[in-house]
Amino acid sequence: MLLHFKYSFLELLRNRPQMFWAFAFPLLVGTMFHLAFGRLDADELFSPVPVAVVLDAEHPACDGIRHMLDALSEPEDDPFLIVTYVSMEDAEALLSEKEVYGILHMAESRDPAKPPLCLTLSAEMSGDPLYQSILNAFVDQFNLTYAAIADIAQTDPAKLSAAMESLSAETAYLRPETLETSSMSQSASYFFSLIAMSCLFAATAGSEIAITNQANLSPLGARKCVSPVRRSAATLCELSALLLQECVVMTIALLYYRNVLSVDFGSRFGYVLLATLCGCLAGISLGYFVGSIGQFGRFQKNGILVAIIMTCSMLSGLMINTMRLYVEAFCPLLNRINPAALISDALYALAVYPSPDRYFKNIAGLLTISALFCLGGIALTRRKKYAGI
Amino acid sequence: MTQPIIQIESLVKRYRDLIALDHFQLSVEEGEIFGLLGPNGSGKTTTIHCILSLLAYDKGTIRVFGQEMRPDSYELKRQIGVVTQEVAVIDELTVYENIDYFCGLYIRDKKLRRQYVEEAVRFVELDEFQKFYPKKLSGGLLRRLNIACGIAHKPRLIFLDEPTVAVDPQSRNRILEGIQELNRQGATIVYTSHYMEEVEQLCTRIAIMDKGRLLAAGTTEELKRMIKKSEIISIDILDLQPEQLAAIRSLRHVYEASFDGHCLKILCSGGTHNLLHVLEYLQAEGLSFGRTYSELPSLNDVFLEITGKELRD
Repeated sequence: MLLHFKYSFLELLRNRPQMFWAFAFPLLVGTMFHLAFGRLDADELFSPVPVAVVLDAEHPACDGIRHMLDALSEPEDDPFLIVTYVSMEDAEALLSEKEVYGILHMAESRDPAKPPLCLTLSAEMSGDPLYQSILNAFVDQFNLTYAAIADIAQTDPAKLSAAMESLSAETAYLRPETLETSSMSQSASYFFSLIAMSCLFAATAGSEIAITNQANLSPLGARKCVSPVRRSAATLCELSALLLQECVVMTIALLYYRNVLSVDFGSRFGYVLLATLCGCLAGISLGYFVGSIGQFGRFQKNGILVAIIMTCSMLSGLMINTMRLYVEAFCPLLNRINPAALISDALYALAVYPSPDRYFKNIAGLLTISALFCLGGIALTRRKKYAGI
Repeated sequence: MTQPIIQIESLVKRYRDLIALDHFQLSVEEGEIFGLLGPNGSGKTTTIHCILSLLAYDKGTIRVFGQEMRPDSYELKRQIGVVTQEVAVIDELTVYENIDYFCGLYIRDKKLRRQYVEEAVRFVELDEFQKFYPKKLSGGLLRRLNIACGIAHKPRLIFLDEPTVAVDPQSRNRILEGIQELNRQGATIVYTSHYMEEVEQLCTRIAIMDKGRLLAAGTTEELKRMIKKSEIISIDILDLQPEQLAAIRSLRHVYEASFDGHCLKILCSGGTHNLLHVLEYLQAEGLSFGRTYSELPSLNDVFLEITGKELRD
């Protein structure tokens, strides 16, 4: 059996087209993903909003507003704003030159009961509209809170301190949960799906093994079938050799993703490798199973496999990264039996949750699917006499 | 009486409406080079696949070494070597590695396997090509590698399914000599071909089959004795009158004579000195004649007479 394994592995290593695609596919597609989705993470980062501030020193809320803006623009404390105190003319000049996203200025009315803060935005601002919305929401929230405090101070001053306390306290409606990495990037989820697809593409080589072990599909299969070696044992040797090759290929691909493309897999890279190994096993056994069904030829079987792989990958979020969530909402069983979804979910769980429970559930799912496909393939081919060769 | 090494009785194999083997009978004795002769599609390869338990059949029994052959008859399979019609080698392995791989499916002992592989390499004269990949080999060399992969483990029974298809004459001769050598070393050989000259030259016993049926079986001489024709005489003559042709037809043992394009062709059935009798008649008639040939019937004649068609039709 060792000899069988050795020559099967040699055969795989020397099969140049297969080796090329085994390596090239994850590396090339990964590079393309990086070029296409790399900016997603950059776009995700929040930077402080530059804003021009025009204060009215005679307004009763002036000092309070200045203190608040200074606190929000403190450079050492994760600033929310970059504040420039200027006159109205200079502020308008800054806005027209697109140096700032908006102008914060005091309301003309100095009535303490009226909202003190106003915002002027430019319709010509070509930057991200998100920042303008943030400024708008900030001003609205400030004015709302100011109005509430002013109202309480006028109607029931005794409750002012309690109201202040209540307003300053944040009510937690969510249970805090520590994340493995609080900054899992959006592009990483695409890479998880890509890894899943790369693992599943090992299915084509698995199918080839099934074909070259069947007398009715290849002369080599006929020669192997007349030999005194148990077909199941011989096939498992060949599948193991393929698994080894795929593991080497995928390890190199993962190292490339991590070290060259800077994909963040979290701190548990060994677990990532294990998930990828199980994914390759699932892919190979899927291919072996499909390759063992029926008498149709190599071309048709590869066509069926590619269709299965692409469907599984699509449902796991290769094209739309939220697809897995939709599937989970409408047909969760599909996510339990889709090997691509299991692989990408295992990697996702690893990156997000400190507890490995969900990760190991996915791994168990992958191993179960692999075992079922392998047993199915062996049952379809063992001790088989063919109707026609 | 020794038990036949292969015994097939009433074998029926259907492919939907087509009957590939029709109550086929066969018996191969140990030490024979047994030829299965028949045109393409006559059922030769189907017979071998049924014997090897690759194909399911509808009816009949097959016994190899006195035992029923099943897909899990591993001990029986260990004693059998198969050289398939299509070249079945692994393109990514060298000549030596291919032989070692296939021999390794039968022989576990590493030392013995190495010895067998080296002998097989020498046997098919591929010593100089041991490190070559199959794609670099010519058609003839590739066929020899295919043979080496099937026989390296020194089987007692070897099936050679048209091993000389698309092979140059030089390689073909080497292959045929090799098969005889294997037989001398003790292997029983079942050889299928539609090249009658090969079968006639090589096989100690022959079965002629067509449309899945066994038409005749025996040694070459036995087969030839089964047909009416025993001698074909061809003589170049300038001119021959119809009455002279009729007189020739009436000669003893002559059962057919024709004259076409200055060539007199006479078919004889049995008897001896038939050529002498014809020449005596021609001399007596004062007919001058040129080149004269006398041929014994070939297997093609046997096949033609049994089936009414040429073997290569």
